[in-house]
Amino acid sequence: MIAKIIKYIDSYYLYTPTYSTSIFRIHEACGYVSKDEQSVRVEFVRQIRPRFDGIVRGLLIPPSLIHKGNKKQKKTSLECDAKQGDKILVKWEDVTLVSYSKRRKCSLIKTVGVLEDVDSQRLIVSNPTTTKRYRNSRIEHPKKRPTFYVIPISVIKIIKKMQ
Amino acid sequence: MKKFYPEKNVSNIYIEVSFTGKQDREYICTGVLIREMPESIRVAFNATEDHVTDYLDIPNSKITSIRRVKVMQSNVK
Repeated sequence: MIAKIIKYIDSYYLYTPTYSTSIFRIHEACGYVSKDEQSVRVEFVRQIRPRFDGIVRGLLIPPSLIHKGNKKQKKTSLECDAKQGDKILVKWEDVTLVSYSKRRKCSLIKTVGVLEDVDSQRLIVSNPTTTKRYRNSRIEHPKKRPTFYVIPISVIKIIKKMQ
Repeated sequence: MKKFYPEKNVSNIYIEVSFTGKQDREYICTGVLIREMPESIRVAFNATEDHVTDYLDIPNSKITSIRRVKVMQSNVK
């Protein structure tokens, strides 16, 4: 059982009136790392007696968000006919902080807003309303609505133009 | 991870801590030692550039063992 350091990128939101096209900031976590098809699991704290097979405290990271050093993140194209200014619905996977849980899947997040910009690495949604499932209900995340949400393209599962 | 503690040290101090919790449960964790207080230590697990985003304060009285460790970069891709 050896702890390792893992670097990853994450979505973020802004409260500023404009956005920049700067790169994603690098996050760095230290813990007991394992991986399956659904997530990279980083256990910060492990319960050894009595043994608990889930995560006492840690992160579930979508595999595509693992930072690849100097290599560019995998480029992905979006299959969507939405244009700048269109109202869109985006479903995407987020880095998930977990506590005393046996879950393996990252949270699925729903963002509704206006398509502001898109490139090979990120999608920028303005005036976004973002919700995630929490204990059988949907809660807004964050509670105060930001001006922009910046989502890595690689974690987007569904994107739809809304009428 | 940015160098947090102690200031004069060349690099971060990674430690592995075994400690007890409620109902005598036993835990283990590894992270960066970022603060030593009279009655507890603070271990950081997650940071964004120079900002620690997740840490744990562990009371000295709950610590059963503590040792300095080398932590490698994960090769998970």
